[in-house]
Amino acid sequence: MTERLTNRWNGITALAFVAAGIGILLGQPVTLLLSAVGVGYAAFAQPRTAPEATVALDRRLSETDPDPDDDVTVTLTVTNVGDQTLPDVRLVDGVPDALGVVDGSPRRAVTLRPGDTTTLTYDVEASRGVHEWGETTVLTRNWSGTAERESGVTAPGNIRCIPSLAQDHEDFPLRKQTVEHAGRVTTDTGGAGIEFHATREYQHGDPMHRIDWKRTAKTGEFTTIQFREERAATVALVVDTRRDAYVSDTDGVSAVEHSIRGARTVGPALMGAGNSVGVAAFGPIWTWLTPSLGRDHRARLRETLATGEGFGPLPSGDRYLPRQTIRRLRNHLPGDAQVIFFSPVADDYLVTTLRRIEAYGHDVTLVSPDVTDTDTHGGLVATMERSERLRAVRRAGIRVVDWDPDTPLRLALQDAVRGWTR
Amino acid sequence: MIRRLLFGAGVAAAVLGLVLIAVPGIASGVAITELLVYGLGALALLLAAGALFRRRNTAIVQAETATPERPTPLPRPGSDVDTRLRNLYRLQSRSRLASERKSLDDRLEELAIRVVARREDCPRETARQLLERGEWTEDRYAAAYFADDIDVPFRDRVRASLGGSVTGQSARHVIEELADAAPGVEGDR
Repeated sequence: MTERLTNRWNGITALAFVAAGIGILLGQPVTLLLSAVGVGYAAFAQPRTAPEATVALDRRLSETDPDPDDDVTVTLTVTNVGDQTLPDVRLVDGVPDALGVVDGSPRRAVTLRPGDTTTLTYDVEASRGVHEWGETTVLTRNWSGTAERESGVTAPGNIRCIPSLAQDHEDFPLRKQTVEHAGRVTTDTGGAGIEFHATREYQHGDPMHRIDWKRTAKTGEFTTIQFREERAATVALVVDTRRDAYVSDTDGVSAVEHSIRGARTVGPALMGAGNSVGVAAFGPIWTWLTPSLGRDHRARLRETLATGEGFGPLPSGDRYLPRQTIRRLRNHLPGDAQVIFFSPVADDYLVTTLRRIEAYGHDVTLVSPDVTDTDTHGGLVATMERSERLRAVRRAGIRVVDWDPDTPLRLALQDAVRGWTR
Repeated sequence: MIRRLLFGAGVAAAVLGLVLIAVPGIASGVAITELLVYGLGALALLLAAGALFRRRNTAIVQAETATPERPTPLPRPGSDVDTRLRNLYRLQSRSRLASERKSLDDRLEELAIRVVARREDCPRETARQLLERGEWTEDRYAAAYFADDIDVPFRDRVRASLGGSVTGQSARHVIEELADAAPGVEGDR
């Protein structure tokens, strides 16, 4: 709480003195009498304390777990619970930083007699994450406005907006892998599976159903069909949440938001195909969900991507510690895990990081939402820098999915896959 | 305390005045010289001047309220470069100008080396030399940005400085030239 003098009415005594001075010097009683007006105003401006903010707040939200883009109506009731009139009360509600007001106003200026109540109503548009209302700023002034008291009054209120995981199970092409679980990553090893790989001479113990009977009929020799082996993979979806990644597209949506949306699409697709999926926030606040499978894990994945501390809608004020973060990622990643890294690649540091992860033996695929545009010279610079960086990442043997977030991720994937197989 | 005393004195004077209006006879014994009257008048004007002077030197102070209506805005990619370019025109302080210029230089140079090295299919060092000799572009403004011995034609320099900043103009040309060389980057500034 702070109290200050506003300097309003400051110098009003000049009016009294001028009138008095002229009246006396010219010997005009009427002019002298005018100074009484000035004295009156000066007396009005005399009190120099502002009343206490004796208000009680009550906040009602039309919904506490809305879907993204839903409008939530906020009703803030403010009551003067003191026994003095508050002649000038200004209210500014503490709307969560990441939410925008779409209708109504979170401000109000009123006079509140003891027991009087005023109600503010406005709508905010929900977006991913947990959003907590902060202190409502209450400014109280005295009648003349010469003093002002600024107080923060809290009333609880928060919404949790948890977007659902993507429903369409579009395949995400993982990099080839050589670990032994039945699943979907194709390998170059022949064995059991679906896709034809090669044939070889029958060996004792080969299963009957893999014998190429047609060939046996033709040649009289037993041959065994080898299928391309398919194995389950362990995948970590790592989202770049460093301050540099919080750059916005033309609609004001951050690259981190697009990245998380990408993870919501890729995660269930991979799990649907039998892979273990985990997530990590690669930024100042480390958040990690160990790769796993199953219904419960899906729910955890959804929750973590929405409300995980590291996945905040706005950049964290904490400092990013590069070494510590990379060490944590390395320690948490299972040895055979692939990494799908989501980042706008807004700095050179990320290129080095991806190379390092790859060097630690994890296959990396970069999914990069492109939020740059070329409307300004600065935008051009950012666009060119990004494409040079993507080139450097590709040169390091890392797969890149260059994604325009206005289009579905699967289109970018189709384009990318064409490039990989070329 | 002083305020209270003054307030008390004021009230006493007012009461005395009212009494004098009601019973003018009381004042008959008091001799009021003209000098005293003029002196009081002058004092009042002096106090008025003092009050006005104090008023002139104080500003209204009141709370600045936040803007909760909009979500906290996040920077657009490259907005820092735009700010630097604008600052080249705006900033007056030489030291700040120099530091802005340095940051912009470093950033544009690194980008230019990458783009030119790729376009010319040459090592970074060669690209750097091309930049320093101004041989990477036909555009004189752009060439002059990295090359010390290339000057923008005098007439253009005058024109650019009327517009604000030769450096700023040159930097813009550099960016446009690089964008022309980079495939898939089409500017629509």
